[in-house]
Amino acid sequence: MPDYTGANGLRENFRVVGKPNIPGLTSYAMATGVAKFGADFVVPDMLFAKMLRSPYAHARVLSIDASDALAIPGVVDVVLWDDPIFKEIGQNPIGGKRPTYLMNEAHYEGVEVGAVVVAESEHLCEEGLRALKVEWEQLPFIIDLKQGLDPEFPKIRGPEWDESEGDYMPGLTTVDGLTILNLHYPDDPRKVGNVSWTNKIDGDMDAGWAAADFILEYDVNLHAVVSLLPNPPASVAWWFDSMYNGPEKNLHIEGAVQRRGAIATMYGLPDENVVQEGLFQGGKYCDWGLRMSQEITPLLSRRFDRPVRCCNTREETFDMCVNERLLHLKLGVTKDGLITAVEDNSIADHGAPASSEMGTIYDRDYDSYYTLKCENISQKYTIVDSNRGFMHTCGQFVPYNWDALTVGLAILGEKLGKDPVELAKLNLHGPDSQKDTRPVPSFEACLEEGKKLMDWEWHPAGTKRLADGRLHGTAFRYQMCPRHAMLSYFCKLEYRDGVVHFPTQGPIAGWFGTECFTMIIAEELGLEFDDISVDYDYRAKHTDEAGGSDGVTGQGWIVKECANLLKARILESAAKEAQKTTTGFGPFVMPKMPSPLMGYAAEDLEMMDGKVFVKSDPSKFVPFAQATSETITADYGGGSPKSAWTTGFGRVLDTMNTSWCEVAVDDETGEIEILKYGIVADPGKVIRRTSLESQIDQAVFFSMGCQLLEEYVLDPETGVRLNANMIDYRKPTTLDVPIVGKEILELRSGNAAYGASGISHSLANSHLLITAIYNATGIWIDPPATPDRVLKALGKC
Amino acid sequence: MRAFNHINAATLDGASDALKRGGAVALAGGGDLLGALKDDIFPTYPKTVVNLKSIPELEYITAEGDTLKIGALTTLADIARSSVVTENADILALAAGRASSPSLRETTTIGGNLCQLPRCWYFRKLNNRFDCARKGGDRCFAVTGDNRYHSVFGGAVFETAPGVKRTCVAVNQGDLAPVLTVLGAKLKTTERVIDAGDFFGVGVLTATVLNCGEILTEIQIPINGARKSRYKRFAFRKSIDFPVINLAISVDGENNYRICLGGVAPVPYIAAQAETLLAGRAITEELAEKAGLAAAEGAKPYEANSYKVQLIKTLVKRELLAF
Repeated sequence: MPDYTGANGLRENFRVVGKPNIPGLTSYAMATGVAKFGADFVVPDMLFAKMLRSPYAHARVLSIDASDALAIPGVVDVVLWDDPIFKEIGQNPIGGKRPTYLMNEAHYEGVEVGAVVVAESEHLCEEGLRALKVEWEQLPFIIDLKQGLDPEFPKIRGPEWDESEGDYMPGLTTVDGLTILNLHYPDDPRKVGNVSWTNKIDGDMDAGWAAADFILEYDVNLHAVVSLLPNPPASVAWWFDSMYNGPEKNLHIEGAVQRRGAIATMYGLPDENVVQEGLFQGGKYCDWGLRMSQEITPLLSRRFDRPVRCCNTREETFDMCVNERLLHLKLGVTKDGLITAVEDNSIADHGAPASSEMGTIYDRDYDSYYTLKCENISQKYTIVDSNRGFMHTCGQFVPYNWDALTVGLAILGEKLGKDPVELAKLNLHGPDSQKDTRPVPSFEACLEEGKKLMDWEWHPAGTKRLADGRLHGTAFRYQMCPRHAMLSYFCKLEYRDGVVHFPTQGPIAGWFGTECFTMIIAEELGLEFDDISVDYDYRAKHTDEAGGSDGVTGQGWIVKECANLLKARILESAAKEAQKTTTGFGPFVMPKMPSPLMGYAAEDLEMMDGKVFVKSDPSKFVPFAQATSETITADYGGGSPKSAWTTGFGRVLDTMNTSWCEVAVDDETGEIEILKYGIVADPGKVIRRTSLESQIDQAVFFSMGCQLLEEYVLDPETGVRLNANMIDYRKPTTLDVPIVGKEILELRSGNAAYGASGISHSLANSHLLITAIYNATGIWIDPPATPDRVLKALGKC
Repeated sequence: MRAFNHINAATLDGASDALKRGGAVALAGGGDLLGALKDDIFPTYPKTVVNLKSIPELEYITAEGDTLKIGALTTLADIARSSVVTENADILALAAGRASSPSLRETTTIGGNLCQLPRCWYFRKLNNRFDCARKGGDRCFAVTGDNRYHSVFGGAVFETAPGVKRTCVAVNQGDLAPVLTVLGAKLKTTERVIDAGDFFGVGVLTATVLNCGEILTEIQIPINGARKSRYKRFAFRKSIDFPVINLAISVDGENNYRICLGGVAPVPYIAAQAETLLAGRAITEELAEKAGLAAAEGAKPYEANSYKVQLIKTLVKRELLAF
């Protein structure tokens, strides 16, 4: 609910929070190149490691003759897959099942397999790899999901990859000593061939169909989209003796790796025996996206008793962040446009083993079907194992089903001749439940501002041409700000020598929340942003640990409470110290100048503008830095308040957003131009405007890329990735991305600090532009709407 | 990138000799070669890289009489910025200014641009993954594979070994090739002078007719005040991308048109039928449309690249109407 329960949750005046362009310490480091990412760590006496990679989409290494490689001066060793070393590492806490860290079976082209060459330089590693005599057995592969549906097609995964041999047990389960996050329901059908299923049915589908006047069927297909890791994923590790930690060995690891606690778990070490000082990950997203090569450097370092570095190239880690998904939707609809039943039949790419399940299973509980008044919702997911590639973050960027609904509203609008905005209003349930018919304040506000921003004027498909002859199309989409902030957070602050210290591990997981938190601390203590000393320390308990920006704001609530605890203690100490008439101790006691705060209790005092002053007479003050000579600490842990207006996990209507666009379609060349792109977002309360705006820009970058440019191309004959590079795989350039009109609303209804929520990835979408192209042409074109596809859909080729 | 010998050539003769010794490749701006070396796409890794940039006086732009002369090592950025080029061959400046990306244009050269190897993704796949005909192998993988960016006017047939003929359907995607072709440029090498229209060819690891050790030294463009010209680049992105199709058209004072397309055939494609249709006639909407159709005449696209035929028709028509 809005921040009624916390300290100053309903604060009206903000001096620091919400300001734009306040750079943090790490901002300077990144802008100046001082920041060190994984590939930047170079230490003395370092060895290098490179892994053999499969040239085939599916193959088994039968044997490797490493004698020629080992004969190369400078090649230290070739470690093969059956080496016991790979049993010395625990399970990666996040991600899919992984029997061992190096296997002799390759499940997609480019995956690490079979061998690691360790040498005195990276070049020697590569030379060693080329000298390996590898005997391959090529195996059947699936890169076409429809082919994978064939029950006669040979199984591409062995039984070791099945989630469970017994009943499906949702949650964390342990199989063969490995922890697996199993997201299947107990009564989901058992796997057949390369296909598994998971089904979820809410409400009464029969009743839903019976209440409908007609059925609307449509397809929403989404192709695989590749992530963009800005830095080469690399890690460097070495073991050392510590003068602090007794006889046990200590591990220092840097780069794009798991965070420290997870590394400690993987290597069976106490947290304090792991050093990880680098702040910048670069080569991973969140805790996802790690490759074997980023995690085994400690193993190799232990064996060779020297630091070991392993750095991947971009092509070697050109992994998918969104998997291919083919959705077939059936909506039961009344003649007025009210949806009475939703049936989602999806075919999803399960990817290669160890891919995340997020994009195949997890989304069924977490989508915008549940923003509807309609309670009859069936989701049947068919999940096909494939050799298309590794998907580490699928589902994290684009919630597929979210667009499946708004696409449906657009198609329904065309059928009924109604503005989809009105259909969205008709179908959205009220704040409290799916039976609630009241309007949702945040949604209504976002709609109104969006209409103004865009001069919104909907027209039926294919009915408007611009003066230059191009077709004009519009589209709208809404979304709730999602909620990942289910974690328990912790904050500790210290007032020492007149300065407030904020110890934190910093953005080790890729989130940059420190600046937000610092702003909140400064706000609550009446200080400026730069007054807070951010003490980056890998041993600190606090980290920018969140779960999307809504998590950052959720964690911000904890920080706010902690800051107010510290404030109360400082005032208490200041009041106490003001009563003293002497200073020093023993024979060194001296008279002390009377404090302006003398005679006042803590509750009589306030702090603002770097001063501690008497509320009733602000002319009586001491500088904040001289408030007390004591060292004062405060810590606070827990979760942020419960969300208002929630109907289940991830389903909240307290803070919402709308996206809008207009496009022009050249029906002779197939070119699409984005004429206008508008965002109206209600994050509840803006904490750090620069972060918010950047996040919106990133969402538009992603959305534009996946809908107009990006396509993951595999050779049909070999399953080899043809465009795993930044020339042939077309991420948008800065010249391509449109200027985004942004309106930020602050309805203060979120469940985090000051009623904030965070927009997280909710503005990233897969079909807003596609829907506008549909409105322009009257023809549905699956993304990416590249000129070739547009011309084909228009019958021009 | 693997280790190789690096020679800073002091003279053209020295460079030519080094290249003739075998296992050597020429380095101009490096825009094409360095990526190829890094990706290890060659069937046999070059032993020697011969740096041509160390040869003096191959980087210049000058108008001499009725000829615009550009040294082969002149960067695309310098060409794009040159008022001499803009005044005498404006579409060359335009094309040079749109190629590649702003930073790469500062290092890549006109000579390198003209000699670049095809961008076919089978040819360019890491670690020589596809031993294709263009590398001396037996087949062109694009013929049966994903050929959305490949030729719509058939493949080039060439010898991979004496008496062994193979086909390649990769296209020439250079930004400058169609421009120089329609401007009637001549390309001077260490051995001869070649018409731009005859300069491009298809062979094992080459996209030109240059002999082993033959080095392009100068581009000579006739200056013709009565000539008008246009250049159109069609790419999916506004930067970085190679053109999917590019088109250059020139017309002299007597309505004689030269039309050349890139990205549609293994070598720059001269739309001869359209040129004939247009000869001596003033452009009308109907004529421009017919010329577009004529330019696409004879196209035999694959299913995945038939859009290029539509683009040829549209772009030729529009550019003619824009004169």
